[in-house]
Amino acid sequence: MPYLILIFFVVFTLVTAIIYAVSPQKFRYIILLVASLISYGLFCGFGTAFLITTIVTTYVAAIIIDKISQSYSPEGLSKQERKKLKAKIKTKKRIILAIYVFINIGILLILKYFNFFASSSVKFFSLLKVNVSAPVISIALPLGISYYTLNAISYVVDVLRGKFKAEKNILKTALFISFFPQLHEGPFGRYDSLIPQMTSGENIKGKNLYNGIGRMIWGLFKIFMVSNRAAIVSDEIFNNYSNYGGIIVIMGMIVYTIQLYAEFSGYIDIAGGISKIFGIQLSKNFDMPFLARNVGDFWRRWHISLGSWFRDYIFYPVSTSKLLNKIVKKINPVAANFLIVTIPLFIVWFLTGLWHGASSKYIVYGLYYFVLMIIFNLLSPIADKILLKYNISSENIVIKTLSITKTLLLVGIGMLMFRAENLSIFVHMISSVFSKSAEFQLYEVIDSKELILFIISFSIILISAFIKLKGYNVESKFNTLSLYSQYWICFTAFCVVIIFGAYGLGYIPPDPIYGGF
Amino acid sequence: MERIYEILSTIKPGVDYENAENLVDGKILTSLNIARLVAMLNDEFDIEITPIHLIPENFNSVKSIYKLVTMLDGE
Repeated sequence: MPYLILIFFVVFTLVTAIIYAVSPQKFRYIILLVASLISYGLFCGFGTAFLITTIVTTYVAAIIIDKISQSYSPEGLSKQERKKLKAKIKTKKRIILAIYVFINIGILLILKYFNFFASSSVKFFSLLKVNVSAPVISIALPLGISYYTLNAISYVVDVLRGKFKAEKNILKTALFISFFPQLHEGPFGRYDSLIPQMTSGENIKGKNLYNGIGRMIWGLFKIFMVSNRAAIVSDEIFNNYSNYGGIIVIMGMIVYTIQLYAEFSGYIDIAGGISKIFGIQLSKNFDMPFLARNVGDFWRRWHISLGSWFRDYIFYPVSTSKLLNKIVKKINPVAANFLIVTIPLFIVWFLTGLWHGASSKYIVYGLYYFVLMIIFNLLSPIADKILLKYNISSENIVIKTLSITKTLLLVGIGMLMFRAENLSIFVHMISSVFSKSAEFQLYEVIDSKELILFIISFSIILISAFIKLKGYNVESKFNTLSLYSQYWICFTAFCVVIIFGAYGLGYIPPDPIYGGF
Repeated sequence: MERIYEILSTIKPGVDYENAENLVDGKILTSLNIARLVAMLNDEFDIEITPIHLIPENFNSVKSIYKLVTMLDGE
């Protein structure tokens, strides 16, 4: 399946690009839409009905909300009357939004979370010695449902907030929701930044073509040269966790972190590369996450588009809500300051955990970051004051190194929880770090050739990050080269991945981790 | 404006707010800081800052925060 998706995307993009290039400019966005719906239909079959439902409800909800907004005419009204009318309109718009969210989150909840909540309820009742049974829903989860549902909601909320007018052309709304490179693993996008690019019908330029192909190959390099090889080692350790302890578990944690980063950022590079061919710039999803100074900073650098979605559509609305502000006004200022951040943060991290998967492990994973952020939030003003008192800059190399190391350790523990099959295995693995060590013959798991290729490939990723850190932009430099040079660089890199990549016989392709969300 | 300086210094001390022009884009103020800032500004100036106002341009400098407060105060 993973290879099939990648091969499919490469071939599909090629065919789409040819049809797109020969079509009249004003119809090109329709080509992208048709391609998106065909690719979705091929992968999801019946699941396309859910995508279509989201498209239609999104279109209708935005149009109705826009119409309600237009009905506001304050001429000749007193300030009091204007305020009343505004409040009435706001309520009407919110009712439409609530119905819309109910339908779409309802679909997501039923398809993705029903079985989890049902089985949890059964377990809960059995603890109370009450025997109940729950039905099991066995519909395959439609591809990218967590991505397109949140993207669609962001569009309707932005229309409600008056950020832009509702789109009158349903084809454009449909393209924003179903654009095929984004559907598999994201990134999340915003309507006002994406739709002008998607519908401009820009010619396929040589510069964009090679830049896009270059990015796609870089993504393939990360997946086939690094992630798939890291998976060989991490799978051995996590699948046979009871055999290992001590430094081996730490190694498993580090290797899995490398695997996840290379795979997820690789898929994002491929999505970005495909989009670039059509002149579309997707939003940034990674910004050197392993240089983060604290866990909050890590989440501003890792899966950025998910973090900013939760910030803009959950955290800010909750933290600025009248209800919360009313509650905190009644308590003392110190507690109020604490709660105004803590309550929305709890909701965000509970939902972030749940977004990653329907299991208690993911909920605890989200709440783990919630607890870390609360601790950081409480301690950081004290740390700031201490640094200020002793005139130590936060950019001091020792402080910086300590902060990054501490963050890596905390993120590593999070990764261990994320990868472990369930929470009891996670606890077992954590305790085995201190309680036992084990023999681990690396060469029995991965042969020396594979290991060397992994080390070289991962070093290339590290070097590219280091170069970027020094302010040298490889992508800009690539863009200034002649098309002839760009062609040969892409061709050589592609050959390297084809010849040395970890795929085919003897390799078990791991499923795309973020593709399951 | 002075009150805004005071509020900001309570939330995150040690920043040169007089000259800072990239408080959000430069990751000096995080969303947690912004949440506290909004609550304190709403309370102090009796205004209603909503999510639509929570964009980097409105919080990148003390001047822009002051401009936002003045605008909402006049509504």
